[in-house]
Amino acid sequence: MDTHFRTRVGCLFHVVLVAVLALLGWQAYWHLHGSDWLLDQPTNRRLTRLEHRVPRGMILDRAGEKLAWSNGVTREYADGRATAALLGYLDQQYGREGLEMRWNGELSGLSRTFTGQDLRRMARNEAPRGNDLLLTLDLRLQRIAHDTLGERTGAIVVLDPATGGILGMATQPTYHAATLRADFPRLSADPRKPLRNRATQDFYPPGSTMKLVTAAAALMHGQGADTAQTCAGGVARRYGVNVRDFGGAAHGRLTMPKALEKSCNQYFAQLAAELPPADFAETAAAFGFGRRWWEERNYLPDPRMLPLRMAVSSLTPGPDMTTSQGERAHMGFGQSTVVATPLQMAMVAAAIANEGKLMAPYLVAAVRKGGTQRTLRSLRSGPIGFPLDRQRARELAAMMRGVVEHPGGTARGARVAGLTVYGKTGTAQQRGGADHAWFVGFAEREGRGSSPRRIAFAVLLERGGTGGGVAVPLAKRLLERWRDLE
Amino acid sequence: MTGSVTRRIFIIQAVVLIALLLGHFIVWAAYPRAWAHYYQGAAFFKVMAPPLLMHLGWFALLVVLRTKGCRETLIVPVAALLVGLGTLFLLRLAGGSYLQYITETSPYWRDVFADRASVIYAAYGKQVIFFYVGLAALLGLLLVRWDLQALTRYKYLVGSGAVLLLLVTTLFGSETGGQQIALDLKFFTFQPHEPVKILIVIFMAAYLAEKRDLLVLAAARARFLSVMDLRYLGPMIALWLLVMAIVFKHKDLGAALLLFGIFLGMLYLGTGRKTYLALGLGMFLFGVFAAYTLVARVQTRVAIWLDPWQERYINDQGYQIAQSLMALGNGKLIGAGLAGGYPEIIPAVHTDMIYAAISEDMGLVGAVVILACFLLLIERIFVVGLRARDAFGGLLIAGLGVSLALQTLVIIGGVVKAIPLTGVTLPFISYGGTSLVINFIILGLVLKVAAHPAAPPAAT
Repeated sequence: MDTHFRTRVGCLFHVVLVAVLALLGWQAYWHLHGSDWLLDQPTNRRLTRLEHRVPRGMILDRAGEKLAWSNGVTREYADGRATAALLGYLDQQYGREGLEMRWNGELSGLSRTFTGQDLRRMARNEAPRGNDLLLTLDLRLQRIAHDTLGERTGAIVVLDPATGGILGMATQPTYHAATLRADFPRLSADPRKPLRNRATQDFYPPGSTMKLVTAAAALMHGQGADTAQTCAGGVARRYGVNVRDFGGAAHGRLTMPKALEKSCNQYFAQLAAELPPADFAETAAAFGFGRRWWEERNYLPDPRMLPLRMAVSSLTPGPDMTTSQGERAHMGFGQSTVVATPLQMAMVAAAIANEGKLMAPYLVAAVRKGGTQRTLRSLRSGPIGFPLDRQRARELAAMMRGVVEHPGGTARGARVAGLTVYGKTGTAQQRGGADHAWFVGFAEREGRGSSPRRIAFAVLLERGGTGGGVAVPLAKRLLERWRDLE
Repeated sequence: MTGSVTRRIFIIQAVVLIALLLGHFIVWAAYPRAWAHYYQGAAFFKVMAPPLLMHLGWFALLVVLRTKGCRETLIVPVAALLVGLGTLFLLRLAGGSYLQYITETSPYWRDVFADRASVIYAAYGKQVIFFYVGLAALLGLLLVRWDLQALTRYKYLVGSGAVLLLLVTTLFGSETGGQQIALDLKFFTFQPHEPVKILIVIFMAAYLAEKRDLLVLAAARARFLSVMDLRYLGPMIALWLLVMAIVFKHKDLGAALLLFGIFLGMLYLGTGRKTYLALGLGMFLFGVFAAYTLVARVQTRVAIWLDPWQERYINDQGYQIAQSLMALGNGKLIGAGLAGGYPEIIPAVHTDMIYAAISEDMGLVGAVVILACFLLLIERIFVVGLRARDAFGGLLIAGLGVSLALQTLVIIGGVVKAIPLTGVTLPFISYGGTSLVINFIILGLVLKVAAHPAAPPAAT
């Protein structure tokens, strides 16, 4: 054959080669990039098939205690009411929500990694099963938080300051995951919105608990704990706005520890107003204000680690809103445009408890091979910010201790024998009803146990009354029961 | 891999066998209830025996090639792997469908899967038989003494044979899904466009080889087109147009695409004139445009291809391609594992869509392996074509390579939604008696030419 024929054949082969590579590239798109989208298509029968064939993975608490498991096609719960807002639900009619939805791939076994165990299982003719999820949650603490909150509208958040792990998170009103199908129409019509998680989805003015942020900002930007201001009592006209203390009390000239103990609005109004606005915003941002930190991989390597619907806590509604000195004065004690979720305020306490290093809160700690102890993936969050250095965090913690311990402190009701409690109360005014009652802080216990040595917490009672009067006793009950855990 | 049948080839063949046996073992372990139902005892041996028996055939072929002194042998293990994977997946899909059938709760889907399980299981049995028919045809081509050149003398007979086959299908063919592509012969349904493909390649190779000198002359006289082109190519174009017209009448879009590609490819191989290529591509675009504007069926096909997720298609005509893509999505990089995915959900998974099934279980990695096997096969076929003794042999083998490559590209392109889906089989892998036997005949022609290559230039 002539050489021309050789070149023509070579040319055709190259055309085939290029076409095959192009097809492969196109195919790779469906395999890799389009995979999750395709698996979630309603006409994809794989999901329903798997639910029939593959036992769905369990959800376990930090100690390996079962929170949710599957019995045939029905999902069963250790405490379906206490954990509903965290685990989400799974219903053939109403779909999936929360953790059950975000982690559906692992739980249903669709994105399981093939291991030697699978091969042995196949050889023994055993069915595959979905992977289990290990949470940071402590079922005991979760139940305590849920019981403590009772029927009151509000939320309780308990964090492990050292890791950021969510130990407990109660919200009211809530629902029961196991009876969701029957209750759903009623739940979605309920004006109190029981399907929302108040701890992360709803924000409230933080009131005096915001003074922790103001104090941190002042400490980190040139002010000392001995900075003195005068509280004249009554309604003080400052920076063009009115600042009034609780009951119109006059605290006289006082320094930061006393001002925090007494929760003096006029002191913190002056502190905030006189801080350069950028400094105040910087510290608030380090605490998490104004940031969608849960979307960033630096903090949560897998965004599904916190499978909750989140709202942004912020100082001002827009990112670049310029504020007047008067507005900043009100922000200094948590009024004006400042809003925060209960989780955000628990983070403020956690950052102080962890000596200034704020770890990103998360809920899912590990993926386990279904039904075994083998960890496939361990998940850890990173620090969101360093709002305080170690020394100033200790200084601020000492002030929070004073709020609980000193005579005349607003949170004296939170003293618990056997624990060292640090806290800050808040009574936040919002137009259109009673005040929101806040208590945020952290507690430390002696000795070793299955629970961390320190926990940070935030208690919020929506339209509940005063922080000292309503939220503090609840926190005391919570802490007492935590102390009694072995 | 030149050299005669070496120990190396036998080792590669043995590796293929071991891989397939492992696959059959996994499939045996995955669907115990299906095998208990189908085999009533000794299921393990009944599952494991076919790959062993089929490999007896492959090893026998290698021995024959060794005695013939054939220098092109890597083709055999590659083809064995493809055929073996095809039957393995048929078995796996039969087991999968049966499992779906016995675990399904909705009566509608129960019926669907009961039906699918029995169809695919029967297909598996038939495919093993067709394998031996194909292998017998292949060995016949190799062992019976005949001269390939004889085909050139009967080229018009071959060409008319293609037309006749198609006409018979027009008259007696059974209609499925608006297409007229099968002849029902009681024992099995015969797909005439499969042999037509080969007959056209033989006809064109013979024609172009004969007129080669004239065509070169014509090309030298005119840089563009002249009357001479038409005079020399006229009969060939006329026959080809006739074939295309009948295929269009059958509404067999896949075969039309294939025959068009073969025609263009062979014209280029035989003449090397870019003018023809440009003209052909122009005709192709015009044909696509004409078909799109005139034939409603083509319009829906294109609409489904562009967006199968639309509400009016997703549960109807777009269902198949959508399910295919979902299978790929479930496959991810390394696959759901053999018998780990759910490809039995895809309609016609054992014929047209088997590539999606393999891609789901074996993932993108498995798809790369399959495509690499096809590329290797096509490359070896082209090399054999280059070593052929005469122009006819070269054109014939290269043409068969083009036809194999095109068919692979058309169906895989359809399965991954790169082009509209048309119903053609994936060579060597898909279930289909006609297709498998024809592919064996292609293999036989290639190996026959490979066994009698051109003498080294020095000796001529």
